[in-house]
Amino acid sequence: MSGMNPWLPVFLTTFLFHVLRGASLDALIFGAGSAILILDWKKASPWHMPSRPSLNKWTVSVLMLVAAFVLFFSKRGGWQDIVLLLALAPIAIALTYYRDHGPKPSATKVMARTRGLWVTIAIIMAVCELFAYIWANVFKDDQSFPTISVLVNPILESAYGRSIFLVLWMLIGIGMLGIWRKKK
Amino acid sequence: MIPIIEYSLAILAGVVLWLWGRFRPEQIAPLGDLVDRMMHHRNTRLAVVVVWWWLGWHFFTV
Repeated sequence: MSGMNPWLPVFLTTFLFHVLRGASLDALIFGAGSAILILDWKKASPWHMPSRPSLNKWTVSVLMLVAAFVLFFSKRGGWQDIVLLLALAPIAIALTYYRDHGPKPSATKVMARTRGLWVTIAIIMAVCELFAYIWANVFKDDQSFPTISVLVNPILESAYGRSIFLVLWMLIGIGMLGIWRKKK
Repeated sequence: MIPIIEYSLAILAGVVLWLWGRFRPEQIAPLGDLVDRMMHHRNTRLAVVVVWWWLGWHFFTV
């Protein structure tokens, strides 16, 4: 198990959870995600490891506008949305799959404390969501025990809400991948 | 109603932590620095991007 991606058990558990609740598409996504992590761990991916790709702001901004435009004029869950999301998947993987370079930024006490606090918030959020899902199923009442999806659904039914949500989602992705940040 | 209060408190805690990092970086590291450190390894990058993409799929196509 040496060198195993520590996220792999999390992905496999999530995969099993989706299988048990009968969400086959979600299970497929986490199954595929697990396969990518295993291929990377076993160094069995058929692709060579490139250096970090770069995208300029204009390309990303135009991509975001086109995507928001598609979601604005399409019906939620329509084929256009599916094609758009499927097209974004390889782009996102390609922007992620590059050689690690340079030393890892140092772990100070402040960084450890910050990480602990953010992880705590994330776990609390996940547990709240899980219990809302369980109670909603036990009591057959997702209005008294709404998951985040139930709360966000009315916003996503509106074309404006969907487009704004898409831009926010893409900005989060861009922020996490550091595409627009200057390389140190 | 209870889950809404819980989600709101968690989001509020996140906003407080984010602002704290911006204005008191000697006590709490800015969120950008934490993300930089977290995304340094390909392991984490791959996992995070799969979860991010799944969220988009879940919200926009279901």
